Amino acid sequence: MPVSRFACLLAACLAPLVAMPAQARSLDDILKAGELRVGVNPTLPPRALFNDKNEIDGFEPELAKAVADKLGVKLTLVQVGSPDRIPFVAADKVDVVMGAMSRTSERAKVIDFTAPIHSENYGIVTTDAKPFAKLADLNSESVTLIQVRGTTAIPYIQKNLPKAKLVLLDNYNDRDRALAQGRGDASFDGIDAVAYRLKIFPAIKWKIIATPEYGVTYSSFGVAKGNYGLRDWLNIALYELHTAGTVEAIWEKWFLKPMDTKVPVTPYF
Amino acid sequence: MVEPAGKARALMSYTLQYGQVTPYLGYLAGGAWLALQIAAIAFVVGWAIGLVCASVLEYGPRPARWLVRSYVVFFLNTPLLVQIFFLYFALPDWGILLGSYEAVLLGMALNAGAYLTEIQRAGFRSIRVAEVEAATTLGFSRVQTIRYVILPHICKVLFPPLSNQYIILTMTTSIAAIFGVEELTGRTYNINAQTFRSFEIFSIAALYYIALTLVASAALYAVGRYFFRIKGKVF
Amino acid sequence: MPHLVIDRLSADYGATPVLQEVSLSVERGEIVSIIGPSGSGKSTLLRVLTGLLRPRAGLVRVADEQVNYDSAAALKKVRDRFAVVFQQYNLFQNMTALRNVTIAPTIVKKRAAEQVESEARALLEKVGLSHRIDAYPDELSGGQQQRVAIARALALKPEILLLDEVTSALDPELVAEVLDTIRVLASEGMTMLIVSHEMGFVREISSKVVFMADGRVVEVGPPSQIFDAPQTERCADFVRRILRH
Repeated sequence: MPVSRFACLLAACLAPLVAMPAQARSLDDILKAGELRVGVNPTLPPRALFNDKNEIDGFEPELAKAVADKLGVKLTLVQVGSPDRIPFVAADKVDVVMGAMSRTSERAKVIDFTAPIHSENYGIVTTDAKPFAKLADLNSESVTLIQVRGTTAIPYIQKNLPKAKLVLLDNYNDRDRALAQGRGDASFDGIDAVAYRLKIFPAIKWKIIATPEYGVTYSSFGVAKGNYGLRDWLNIALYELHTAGTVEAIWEKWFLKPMDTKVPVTPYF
Repeated sequence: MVEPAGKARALMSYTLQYGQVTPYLGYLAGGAWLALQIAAIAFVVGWAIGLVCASVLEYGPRPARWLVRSYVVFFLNTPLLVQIFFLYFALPDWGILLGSYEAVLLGMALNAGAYLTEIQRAGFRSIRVAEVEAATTLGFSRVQTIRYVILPHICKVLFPPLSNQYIILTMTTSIAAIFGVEELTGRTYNINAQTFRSFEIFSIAALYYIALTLVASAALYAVGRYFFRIKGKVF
Repeated sequence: MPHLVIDRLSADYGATPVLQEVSLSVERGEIVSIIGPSGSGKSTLLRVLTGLLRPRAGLVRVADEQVNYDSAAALKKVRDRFAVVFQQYNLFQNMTALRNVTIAPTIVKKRAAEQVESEARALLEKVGLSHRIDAYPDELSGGQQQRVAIARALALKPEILLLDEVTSALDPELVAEVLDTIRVLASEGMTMLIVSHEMGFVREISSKVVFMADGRVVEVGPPSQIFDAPQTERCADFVRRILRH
């Protein structure tokens, strides 16, 4: 009896080793099904959020709708989280994944990215009492940085600001609250959503310092590795949405300001 | 079913690459070690809280019993997540700023304390008056009765539920990641975000958790069998 | 001189009187049985004698020495004199049969472990359990457990053995082995006070039978009197009812 129970246990852990995840749907499959499934993360307002009617809404859902309309299929939004968004694609639960999909060469080993949807602009988020002026000011033992677990700035901080203490919290609401309570001195992160956040946290006196020294990153649609047909079509659709000003318009509606760095749009991908 | 253009489609499926995450095995092991620490400390503190509270509930004066009762009811009927959230994010509004590790440990210990109060109370209830009387008539002193009759019995009765509680606590440590503690789950999330190797990294994390609980189960099994004649199974 | 004298002993459970002026004397080596309906105070009398329940009034003398129930130190002496065997055996579940027998001499009397153990082995042999000395109570039958309990009581070399319905919890086929053990003790001259419902056994082994009801001694006499020619209506009634079964 113990032996068979142990076998079950072992099988459960090793299941991902043997059972290959399902194959992704091709562009033809999507057209045939008449449905495009897009994963979004509604815990990242204003990219995606639950609106007053408790429906998923925001920048990414609205852009996904524009994409589905171009494809002429129905849009189905699927809620994904940061840790499970890749399994959602690999297990063929979604065709396209959004949710702040910052491109990195490391991530691109696992998933295919389209051309950029929007730029991601970084800065130091702190309160007006703190003296920081540039990123290098944060590299000190007396500085505690509060970041959101799993975000793209963290590897940079570990490499370039090694003296700062790092506290990783679960989401941006928690980060803001922790900063307001004085748990840390600053956060180095994307600042695109700050205008939106200032609106919903009127009591917090933010100070935002842009950090051009860090550069800009880009966020894209993600598709299953090798799903080139879908990726290529998305690139063309995205080119059209960019040149028509649709992406920028939706951006300004949700982020309450223009994109800080324009995405250079070229007809070649 | 016909498989059109089989080769092209095969490219679209996810390929497991455990080699991509092997550099992080040591980093994850550090997280497992921290998880073990949190579970062990929370358990020991919770056990002590439970022992005191169970004694108060059984033998304490009425106001103290009422106080303990409120504590137990509150912590058994609210989620641990909410309790730690309160300690971490609400207490600072009253001037108490607990660090991540402290808030998580305190929350887990208080939560475990409530469960362990109920468990240990059941242990007290299981004391066999008849055995105590037998000890009395044989001339045992009060201390001898506790040492030779009551404690061994309570330990034996409590050992299995306490062991279970410890295993549950080990799993529960994953909640610490939410509050900025870099234990196993937190580190798993970190690597996942960098590499996107979700299947690989989460299955390895699962193996680490299984190792943590299996080692604990095996040790507890050996202790239970040797000291308390408890026949059980590790698996 | 009687071995045990009980003189107008009274005790209460809270406000309820459970023993009322009970008097009794037992000669050295004599076996006295106490019978009576449940709630009559039989077991309570044994509890008072062993100091589990403090008497309200009255005297107990053992070998002409007054027993003092007033302090913890005095109670220690009481427990040297009396040993009790309970209806439910009350063995220590966390100890082997041997350890159940050796623990009191070792930790209470602080006697040398080797000597205590050899005596305990002899006692367990006497109750017919030399092959089960390493068994735990939950591995023994009720009769075996009760025989271990008797051995445990004897290990302290008590002057007087109190047996409280020692066969009542046993299956019928296990009663005989326990009664046989008591017979052996009787033949060795142990003074015993026995509370029992085994009327045949009581009649066979006792030199004197006490009939109790409502916390009082109603009638005392030799078995022939109590069972064949009771002098009181209550005793006659009880005996008639119990012998019909």
